[in-house]
Amino acid sequence: MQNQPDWCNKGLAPVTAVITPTGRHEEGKDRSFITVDNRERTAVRIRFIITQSKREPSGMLFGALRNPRLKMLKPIPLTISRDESGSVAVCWEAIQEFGYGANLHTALQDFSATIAELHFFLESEAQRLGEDLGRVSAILREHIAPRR
Amino acid sequence: MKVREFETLVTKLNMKTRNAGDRLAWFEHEGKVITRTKRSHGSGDLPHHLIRQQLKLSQEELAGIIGCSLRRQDYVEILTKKGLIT
Repeated sequence: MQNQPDWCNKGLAPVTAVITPTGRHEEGKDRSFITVDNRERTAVRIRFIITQSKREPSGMLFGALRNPRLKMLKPIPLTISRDESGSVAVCWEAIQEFGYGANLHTALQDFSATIAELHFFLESEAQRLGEDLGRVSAILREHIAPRR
Repeated sequence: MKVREFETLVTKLNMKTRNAGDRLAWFEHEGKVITRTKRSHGSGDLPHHLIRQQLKLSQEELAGIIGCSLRRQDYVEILTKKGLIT
């Protein structure tokens, strides 16, 4: 027949079957075999290969503000980088604020504490801010706010 | 950036500080808060380029302040040229 995959010409045909827990299951050294119960009793080999990427993310959305006096309005986009010493820096480019630590977890903890402190500082000095810090304060207010 | 270099920076620029967990430091000029930076307690070296960016300085300018070739008044002139002080 025309337009048929090549394996159709070899006496093989696809089947549709439901693999149920009652199907015969055998464990091998590094693979499992499940016999799919169909009329032809075709043995199906299923192998799961799990690989862990060693590539670190280059960015993330931050939403884990830990200060009980503040709440997140929307997540903060962070870039992630690692310096020569292996320490991790997370950076909010829009206001050039950062968290820094031995690993991503401690860098994020540092960042969380930093933006909370920055928020309270900028609010307390609102009347005396230069133009750039006024811009920083406005951006920060889009993302965090006091809990009422 | 070593902690002692950060302390030199704070002292040379006569930055104001507070010590609430982190070490927030800010630069004031004529009653206005112009720039800010911070260091965390317990860290080893500090992220040089990130602190530099917060203070709106180039690598050479920051080295000049830490190395004593630039003073507070020079920092005011730098910020004025960059439009942060008007």
